[in-house]
Amino acid sequence: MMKDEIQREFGEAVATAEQVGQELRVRVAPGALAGLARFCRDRGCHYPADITAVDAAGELRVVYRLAAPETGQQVVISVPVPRAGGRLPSLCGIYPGAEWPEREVHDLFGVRFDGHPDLRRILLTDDWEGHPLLK
Amino acid sequence: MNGGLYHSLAVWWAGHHLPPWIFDAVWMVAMAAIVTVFVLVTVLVLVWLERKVSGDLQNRVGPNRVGGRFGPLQTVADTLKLLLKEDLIPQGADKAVFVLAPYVVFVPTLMVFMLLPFSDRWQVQDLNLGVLFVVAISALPVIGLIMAGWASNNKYAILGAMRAAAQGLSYEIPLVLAMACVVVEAGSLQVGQIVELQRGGQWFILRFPLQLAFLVYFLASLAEVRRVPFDLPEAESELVAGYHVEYSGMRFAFFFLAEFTHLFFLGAFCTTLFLGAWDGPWLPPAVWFLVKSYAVVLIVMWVRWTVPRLRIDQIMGFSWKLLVPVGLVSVLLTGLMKV
Amino acid sequence: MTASLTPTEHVILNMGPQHPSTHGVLRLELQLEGEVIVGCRPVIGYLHRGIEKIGEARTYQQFLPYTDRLDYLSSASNNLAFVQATEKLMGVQVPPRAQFLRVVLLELNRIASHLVFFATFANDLAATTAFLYGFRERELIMDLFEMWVGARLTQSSIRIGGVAQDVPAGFAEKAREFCRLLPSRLDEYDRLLTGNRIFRARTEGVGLLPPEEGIGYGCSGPTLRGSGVAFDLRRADPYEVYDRLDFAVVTQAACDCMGRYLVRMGEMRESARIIEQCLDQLPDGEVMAKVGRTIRPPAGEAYGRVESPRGEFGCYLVSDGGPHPARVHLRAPSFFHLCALPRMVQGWKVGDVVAILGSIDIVLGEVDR
Repeated sequence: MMKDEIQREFGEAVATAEQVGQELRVRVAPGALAGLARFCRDRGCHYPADITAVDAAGELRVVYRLAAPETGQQVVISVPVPRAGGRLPSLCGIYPGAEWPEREVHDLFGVRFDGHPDLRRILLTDDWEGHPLLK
Repeated sequence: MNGGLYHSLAVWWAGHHLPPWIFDAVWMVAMAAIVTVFVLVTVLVLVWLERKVSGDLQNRVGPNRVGGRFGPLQTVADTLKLLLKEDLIPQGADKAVFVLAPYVVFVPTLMVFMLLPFSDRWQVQDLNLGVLFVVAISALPVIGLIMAGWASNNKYAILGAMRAAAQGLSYEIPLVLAMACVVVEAGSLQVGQIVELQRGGQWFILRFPLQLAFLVYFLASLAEVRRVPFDLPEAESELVAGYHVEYSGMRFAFFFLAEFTHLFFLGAFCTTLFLGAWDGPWLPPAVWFLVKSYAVVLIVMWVRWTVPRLRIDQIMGFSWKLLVPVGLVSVLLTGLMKV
Repeated sequence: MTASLTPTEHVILNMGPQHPSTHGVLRLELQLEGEVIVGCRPVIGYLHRGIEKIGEARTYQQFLPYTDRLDYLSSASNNLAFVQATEKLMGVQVPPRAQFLRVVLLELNRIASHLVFFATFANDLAATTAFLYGFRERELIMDLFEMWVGARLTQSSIRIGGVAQDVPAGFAEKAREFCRLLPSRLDEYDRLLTGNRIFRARTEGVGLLPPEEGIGYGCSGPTLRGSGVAFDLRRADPYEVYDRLDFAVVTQAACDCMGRYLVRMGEMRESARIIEQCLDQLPDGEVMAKVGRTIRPPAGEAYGRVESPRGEFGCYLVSDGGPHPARVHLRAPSFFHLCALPRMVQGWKVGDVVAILGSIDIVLGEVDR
């Protein structure tokens, strides 16, 4: 199953992987993100349902929800990042629809995405100071 | 007015040994005043009519408060409102051109009214170059549009002005071709002659191949008046108001006035060229003229509220690829029929 | 690029934020070469109200009316996404009558939203009469809402555990009457607009969105189904009672504005059928499950997804066991569609921007949140 494939492929970079209903929830280290995303896309999850971030339970993590419209399978990837100076590779090259959600995460949480074509604030004004959704 | 009234008054005037040029001057001013008043009243009626007709087509009532149940004085109220508005000239606008543009648009539109045969005795001036005069003068308002678009210092206005210019020029050709058919059929540029040949129910529209010419004329005129489906230069939902977006108050009123004046002229000249002008049984000729003109105007309004608008390249394509060839063919056929 | 003897510049034209056709406060920075668009940069955020942040300081019941104001043309879908996520976390079982009523509400919202789409799309293309016809039908739906829920637009009727109000007497007849009336009105729209040569010239072949690109951009709903992809959450991930209802997923293979338009017109007919089925199968019983006054879902996360008239509307909820959500994120379909817009308008003309933007049917309330 996909869960086993992922654990086999990415080894220790995958902290946890569990199937909850239709969702395969995976926690990975930042370094494995791009590879895992490409892996999922090649296995049919070519629909970027959502990219957001959560600052709760004492940590900030960026959450990627990748889905396969034909089968209903969803892979939910959580990547922990530091609250200040967090950097992740941009997935714009893999999913064109990642452009704006990544900008939103940058705007509201301050995470930087390397390789993003146009990383600016999207919802707040350009001269806004701070990142409001951080706790 | 030709004939009777002018001559009898001129004789009376000369009989008092007053210089004739004063009489001519007074006469011209009087004629201009009468035509202007007629146009103003007509525009009032047309605006009200448009709102009522559109309301009816759209399952609603239209104006129903000002001046009674049918709101006939609505336009009067709206005009008053426009006149009382603050006169804004945008910063960076070319003031002289900005101020002049509405007049450049309105005055030529008014000038061509002098050729309309309202009845067999009511025509301000029956120039022997009648149709040519109409063609020439009708091309002038486009300059005003470009002036307005340029002087506004606004990208939307410029975009609208460019579209208006392209459209206006493109549709001149089929318009002239259609009118040429009528001229060929009548053998004369003089409006009086054209009308004379249609007396007694022999309207040009009933003669083949002038039906083609009528269609071409109708469609080309729609484009010249910039009504839907050809209203891209002032497309409300795209350019807000296109070339006159920066105009407000009295100046805007002039553009509005020009549009409806041109609309009535469309109906009236179409009637003159194809529907026999004032020709018709029982009713007085002037009534027939108005009835036919308003019928054409109502069809134009009906079209306006039914169909969507075309994109600029589609508008240009329609003119050059369809109307011009059809126009040429109809001129050819008309010529052949006369041989 | 061909070299030109005359140096020319691209014109930057701002469409918006106040503009009759941007369906809200949206700014499109268009780079024009004459009338052709060589670049488009949407600027959003004019309607940002910080709803996600507000969610962290409200109880779950208090937050519900905020969800109405996201996609305000179809508030029931927003309500349901949030409620679904909460119910997943809490393990609440919604009574069957409430499930059917929810579907009725959702489908009425879908028809109302698509009617607004029809009306505004037509209006953008200067078919003003069609605009008024669309709103005339929508008024009938607004009357139904007012009769049932009390509110015309922002219903907040789908609550955690069920539906706030049961349908009053006479509602079923009025709703059935509407469903019987709708197809003939849609036929009228088809006669007026759909077959019109000018309308077709403005929409056929315009604004192409290839299916693979659509999926890659996260497009969903009619925007994606207009490109031939039969992705509908009511079938892919059924919720409420959709798995028991008979309806077709409307797709069009054209990938253009006309395709997306036809999908929405077809969906209205299907929605009317769904409503009739629900009214026929409506069981008796409670409309609200026993849910306590204070709602404290156990710690965890859940994602509620709903097929809104615009596409996949999702609510990602993270709870820490307290009375307020730790994080509530709203996945708005229009956000992703707008991200795809520059790709769709590239190379078309200014007049087409209006048609393409209208055909993807965005609502700024959910884009900006």
